[in-house]
Amino acid sequence: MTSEVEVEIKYYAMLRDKAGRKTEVVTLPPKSSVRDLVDTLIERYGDEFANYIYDGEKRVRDYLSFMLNGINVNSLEGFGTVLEDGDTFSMLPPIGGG
Amino acid sequence: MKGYAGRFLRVDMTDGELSDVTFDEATLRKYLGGTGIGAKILYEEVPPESEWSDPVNRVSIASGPLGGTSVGGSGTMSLVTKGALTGGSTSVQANGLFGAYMRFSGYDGVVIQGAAEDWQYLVLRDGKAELRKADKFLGLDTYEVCDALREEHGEKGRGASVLSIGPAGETLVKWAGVFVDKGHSGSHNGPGAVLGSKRLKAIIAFRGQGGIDVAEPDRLKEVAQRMYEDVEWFRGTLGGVENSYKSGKGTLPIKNYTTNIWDVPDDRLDAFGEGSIREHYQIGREPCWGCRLMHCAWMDVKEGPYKGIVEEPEYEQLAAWGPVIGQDDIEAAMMLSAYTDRLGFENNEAGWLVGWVMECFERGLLTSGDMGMEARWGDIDAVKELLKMTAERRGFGDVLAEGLKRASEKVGGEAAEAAIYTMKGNTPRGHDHRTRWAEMFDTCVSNTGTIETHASVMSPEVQGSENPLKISTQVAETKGLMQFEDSLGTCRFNTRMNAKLLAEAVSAATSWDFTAEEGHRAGRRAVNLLRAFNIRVGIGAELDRPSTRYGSTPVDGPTAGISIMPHWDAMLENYYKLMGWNTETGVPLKETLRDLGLEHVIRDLYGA
Repeated sequence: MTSEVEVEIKYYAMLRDKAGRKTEVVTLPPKSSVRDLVDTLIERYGDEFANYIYDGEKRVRDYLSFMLNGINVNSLEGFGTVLEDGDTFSMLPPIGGG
Repeated sequence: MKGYAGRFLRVDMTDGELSDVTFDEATLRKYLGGTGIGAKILYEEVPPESEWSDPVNRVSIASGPLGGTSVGGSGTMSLVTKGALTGGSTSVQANGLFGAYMRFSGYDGVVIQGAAEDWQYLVLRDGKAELRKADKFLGLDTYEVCDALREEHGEKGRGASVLSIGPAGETLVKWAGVFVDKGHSGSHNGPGAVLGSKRLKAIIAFRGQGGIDVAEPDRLKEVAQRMYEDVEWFRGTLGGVENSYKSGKGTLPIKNYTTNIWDVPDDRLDAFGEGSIREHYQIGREPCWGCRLMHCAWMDVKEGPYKGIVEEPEYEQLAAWGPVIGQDDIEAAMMLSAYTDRLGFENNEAGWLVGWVMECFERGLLTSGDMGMEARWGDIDAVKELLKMTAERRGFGDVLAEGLKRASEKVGGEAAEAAIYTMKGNTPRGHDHRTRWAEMFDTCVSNTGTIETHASVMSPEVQGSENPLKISTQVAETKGLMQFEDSLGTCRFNTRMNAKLLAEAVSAATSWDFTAEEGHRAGRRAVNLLRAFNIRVGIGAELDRPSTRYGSTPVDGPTAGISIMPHWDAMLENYYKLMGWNTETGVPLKETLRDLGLEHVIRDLYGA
């Protein structure tokens, strides 16, 4: 039987305020994706959290960066990336170039 | 006084005289340093009717009360001058070590004025300053002059920091920049040209034995640690091209705004990713003063036509030399980023200029007869030749040296309609702002030839192309936070305009009971001074808007057909109202100036 996955979440900037914490560990069913994780967090923290991540048409806001084990999920399978036990997931605020 | 070295250095290039300038504590608390002090000096000492290249122009290069302290990235300097592209104010920052070492050398800032007959460079070391002949350093690029000056003074590596202009600054290219420790660029609105007009090639500042006496060092360290914990995730902007395009929002600038579709194979796009670049090319880190973030590094392209050592490019450099010019080779983009820096050019203007040239050539609006060469989309050799001829002001390069607005107006016709710039005369940063309305709006209303606020302090719903009035509201409300930060001597990636933490740090450094509100006001004071200076130069409300192409409507991609321009006038009126400015002319109102302690500006703008 495949076991559940535990993922450490790190919050920064405005998301820290919305989650009320800097970090936490979330347990998910096996073969959960990044999207499943984000939706779990939205269920937990509500509309303001959701509004930070998704626009009105449930598209991910482009200014955010989502990192899985230090790699941007755009370089993996995007929000469809499957999570593994012990992963670290971070949601990063706008950088806007430099 | 705690938190300050206690003096500025005034350098008169005309007669070679060096003198100390001191500000009393009340003045320092009002203007802090960096951009704040620079705005005060510009407003009070530079006649608005003067030219940017006149000896009377000042270049203020200053740190602030957090420079060279335990705050991460506190080696930043802020440069304020009357800029060469717009003829109005400019405020630019560059990171590295210079701001810290200047303070350790005994100076919170330097003010350069006059113009020398022969080229000079300035030495700052252990409480002393000296001008020396710079003949043998002329023609050296920004990497070469940094190494050469360090070697001249028997320093290797990080014992000394060099601020310099490249060949483009020497020939007074109007978009020439200032570079610190090779690749840290403070370059919008031609500060390199201004230093070139004064014949100052470089400043070298030594680490030496000096330090900064702060009021509460343990408290400052604790605040600095909290600042670091807020930003420890930052990994530079290297992956911005990949992220921007894959986000699917149309924010990547492609082929001079002619399309939002980048027809590039997946593996070529993936090669622009941060992980891929670091894995294939990174050879070693080069952090700025006190910085613990995973950002500045050296890269080695080991083989092939673009081989060489380059400093880690920023997103905007890769955007310019990748999608803006229509090419998808990451190594070529990396090489061109370093090539641009070395010659001493501002990379945004460089990319938009070359992209414009390529579009015009492809459309027959510019010919090989006009330019002496061909320039098709993605032609790397053409980019190098265009930049080289511009640095030399040779042939068509002399036209390009005047900047994109002037160059496109000179060519005229349909070519003039294809150029991306604000009506003041500067180009924007390297995004497709037609989907980032906050940044387009801010870039156009800015007084300094670049952005005046930042997305990181705005909320999610104003990050795209909806909510125009909310966008202009947040641009107004956040105005001043950036200028507060840039008055302190810190790197934005380290301190991210967090006014609360910055104020705590200022209190710990100086023993003042300093609040975020006081800091924000100091920033708005600088914004209003720079605005008032521009008004007196003749830069008014009619120039707070984009060029035709900059404000155009995307023709394809995710935001096809969506235009900011129908909303522009309403956004502008709302912005002026919230800034406390006349809603038609954009002139700061008397009560706004009075509230900021700028009574002398009231007299200048409104009469006695």
